[in-house]
Amino acid sequence: MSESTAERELGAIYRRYGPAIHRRALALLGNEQEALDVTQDSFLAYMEARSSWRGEASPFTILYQIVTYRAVDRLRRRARWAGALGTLELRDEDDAAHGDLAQPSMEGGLAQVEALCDLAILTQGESPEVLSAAVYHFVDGWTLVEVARELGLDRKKVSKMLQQFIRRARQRGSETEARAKP
Amino acid sequence: MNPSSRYISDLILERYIADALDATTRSRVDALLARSPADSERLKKLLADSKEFLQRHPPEELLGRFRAGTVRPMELNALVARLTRMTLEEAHRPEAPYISLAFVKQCVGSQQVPRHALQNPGFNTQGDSPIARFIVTLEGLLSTVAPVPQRMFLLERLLHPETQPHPEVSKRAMEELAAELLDLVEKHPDLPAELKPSLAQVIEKLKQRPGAK
Repeated sequence: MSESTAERELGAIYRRYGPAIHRRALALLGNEQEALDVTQDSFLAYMEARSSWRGEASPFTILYQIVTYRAVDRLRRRARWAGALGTLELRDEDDAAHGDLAQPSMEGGLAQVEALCDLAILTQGESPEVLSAAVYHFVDGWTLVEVARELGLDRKKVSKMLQQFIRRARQRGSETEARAKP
Repeated sequence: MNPSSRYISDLILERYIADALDATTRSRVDALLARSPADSERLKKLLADSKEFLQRHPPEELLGRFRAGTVRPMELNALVARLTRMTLEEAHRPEAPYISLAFVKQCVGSQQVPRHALQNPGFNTQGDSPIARFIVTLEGLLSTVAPVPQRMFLLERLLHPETQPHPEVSKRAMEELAAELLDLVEKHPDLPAELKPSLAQVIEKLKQRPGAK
């Protein structure tokens, strides 16, 4: 079967971004098969909606958001509240970190996995943008400036968005903890 | 600069590899890489991992899913439903292996198949529908899962091993349908490997042609 233009495009972006997107999925999910599944789902989702994103952000940025959203969505289905996320508070260290290329990377330790599971529960029903911002800031440890840059948003908007999310999440967190008590 | 310290995050290195950095940042990364052995080493590891990933998982598998999810027509979905039914019936023996979610997803050819809420949008004309229902449809005649288009009903009769030729359908119409179906199978080689034995049976049946009047 001859390849269509869309298939050639998909093959090209997969070869270019696939390994990085898969590494992101693997770091979040910790399971090779699930990570591969989510990676492929992310590329298919990208192809479905690419016309609506064209010109707004790079394919890498979009795919990174999609894979983060889908991985967290996958985690949410198996997540049990661990209470490992701690108090959600915005860190405002952006002045010191601004311009640095060495923001902390996800290391995948147990505490971080549990924190991500907690966040997955707290972000249920949130938009992909809010969910991505929350994961980048609270789990990946990115600064607000870095989150804003990655999402193509203004720093103030990210800050406001996350503060509003924190209010909603605290409400959800207390409800979840209450339900989890014997 | 401490030779064992990292100065570039993995995300920036990923963007560097994917050529997804602006020119200024790329220049800064180049300069840092020249002075940072730890970052250079990390870059080498990521590049090697990328190469190995693409060897293990080349784009063909993804392209197969893309074709299946975007261009699989309703008739082919009906064929897959029948094949899946035959395969599931085989696999539901007590000693049979567990049928993976990935297999079911491949069968229904859907890109949007959340766990516990699998959908088959190409087949279900009533909108969202859980895979449980889809599986149920596989366990009964498609005609019982109303509403299905008449053509689907005919297709099921054509494919069902115990169904007699439809009394109201001409032999020519059934032959045309059979020919279309064979054509679809040839155009869509992405059918799951698990279905191939059932597919061989169906193709044999189609080649024999239904004996309707």
